[in-house]
Amino acid sequence: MTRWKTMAIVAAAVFPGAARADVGDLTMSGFGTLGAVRINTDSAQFVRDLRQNSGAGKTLDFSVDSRLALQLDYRFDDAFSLTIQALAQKNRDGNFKPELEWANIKYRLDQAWSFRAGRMGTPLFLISDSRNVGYASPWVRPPVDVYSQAASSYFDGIDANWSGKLGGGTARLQPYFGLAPSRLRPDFDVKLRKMAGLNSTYEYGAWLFRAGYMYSRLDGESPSLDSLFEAMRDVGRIPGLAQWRDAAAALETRAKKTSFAGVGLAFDDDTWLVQAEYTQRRVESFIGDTDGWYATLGYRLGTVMPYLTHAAVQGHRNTAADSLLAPSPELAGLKSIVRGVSGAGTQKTTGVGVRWDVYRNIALKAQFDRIRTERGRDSWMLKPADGKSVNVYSLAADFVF
Amino acid sequence: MKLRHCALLALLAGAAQATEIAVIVHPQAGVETLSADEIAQLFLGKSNSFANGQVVIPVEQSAGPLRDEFSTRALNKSATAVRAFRAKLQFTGKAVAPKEIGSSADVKKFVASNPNSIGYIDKAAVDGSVKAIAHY
Repeated sequence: MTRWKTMAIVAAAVFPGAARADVGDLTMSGFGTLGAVRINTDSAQFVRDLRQNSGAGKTLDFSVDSRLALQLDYRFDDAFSLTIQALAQKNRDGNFKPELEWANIKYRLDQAWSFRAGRMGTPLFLISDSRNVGYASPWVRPPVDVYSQAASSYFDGIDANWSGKLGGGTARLQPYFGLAPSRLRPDFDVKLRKMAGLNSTYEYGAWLFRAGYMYSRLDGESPSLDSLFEAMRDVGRIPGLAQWRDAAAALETRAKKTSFAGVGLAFDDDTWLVQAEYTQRRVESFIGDTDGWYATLGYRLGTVMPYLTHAAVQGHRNTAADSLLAPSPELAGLKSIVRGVSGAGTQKTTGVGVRWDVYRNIALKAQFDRIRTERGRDSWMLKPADGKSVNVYSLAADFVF
Repeated sequence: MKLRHCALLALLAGAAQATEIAVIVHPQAGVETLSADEIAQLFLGKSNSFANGQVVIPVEQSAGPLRDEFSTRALNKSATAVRAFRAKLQFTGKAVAPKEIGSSADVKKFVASNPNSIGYIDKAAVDGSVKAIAHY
């Protein structure tokens, strides 16, 4: 926090334009959501993403979707500007301590090029920049099956933005480089190091096409998982059981290659809304590869927009532990624990909802989702639902100011 | 008497809605005309400069009939859709939403004193302090 504060002060001192402080240079704005969600069972807990360590059961929960953000935009001059955004949402520790989502300085070279340094949104998805801004999207929350694949929404680093006219539309290219830290449940700290990616979009009339790719080195730290892998390495020292050591190496999260690829399209002519994305997460470890997609169709009737969404995520298990020799009941138990943590879950979600723009800066939403999980493979929720379908009832008020 | 007064106001309000909207810039902005597409791009934050490269700051009217008219006629979107669209740009650091300045008189005053701004006002309010470059 203080690091960014210092950076802002330094920036203000370096760029004398700041001292002028014309009215019109500083913009303060914000957004937020008051959301209530419950599900039809207490045998599972619904969470919005992999950061949350408690979720909604049968009783109405206000913590899963509610959030509040404040943003400061400061224009020093025609070339330099500063954006700072603090966002309070439920974190792993179960509280709403605000975190810096954005804190970057932008330098605009000319009409085509601009450069940024600091903290900014990781452009892994079609709406990754605005994934926290409920008001900017039709749904109560971005489709969990797709957007939970990457729980972290920001990175620290640099990027370049190029935009230009191309065949009657506007093309944008955004190469970026940096480090993405995230804190996942229950005690898992993940860093995507040397993250390098390219995001590209093409806008043509009401159409928007997007393609992106990111590559990085993942380092994960988790006391409980580390002790599990340590135990596997210990077993690997027993003559004849060296395969346990190899399996630990395959499943642990030190310096593992990670990539994320996605394509998306959106069509919005103010009457019809069509939006679809397909994404692939690849991680060499127990975390597991995933493929996710969704499609949304909406139709505006004045200030009311009903919408329909179908989403799915297919998890692939890392099979490194499947053929381990377990000559004792203790080792068989350890093997089943190891197999239990391997791989991401598979689920499908069908949802219907309605957005009502009730006031000039407030949208009310009601959404019903039915999530079908594959037995024993539902890491996207808390507590296993064991292959049962779960109904999710959500209400939200999104606002901007 | 009171009733007649109200009827007159209603007529005037009706007439005001039918009034043309003028898009205005500073007389020394160095811009003679802008296409409908260029104007929409500036007000939707899709571009932030004139063709000559000059950075331009769009200013917005306060919520009201003129703003709604401008949204539908110039931006081809409802005022609500414009707000949602801008929220997306604003909170992604892509563009800052135009400042809400006030009524036609306030917008005119702002544009007249800021060479790199663009606004829109009731055409009837246009005078020598600003230059009208498009009408809706």
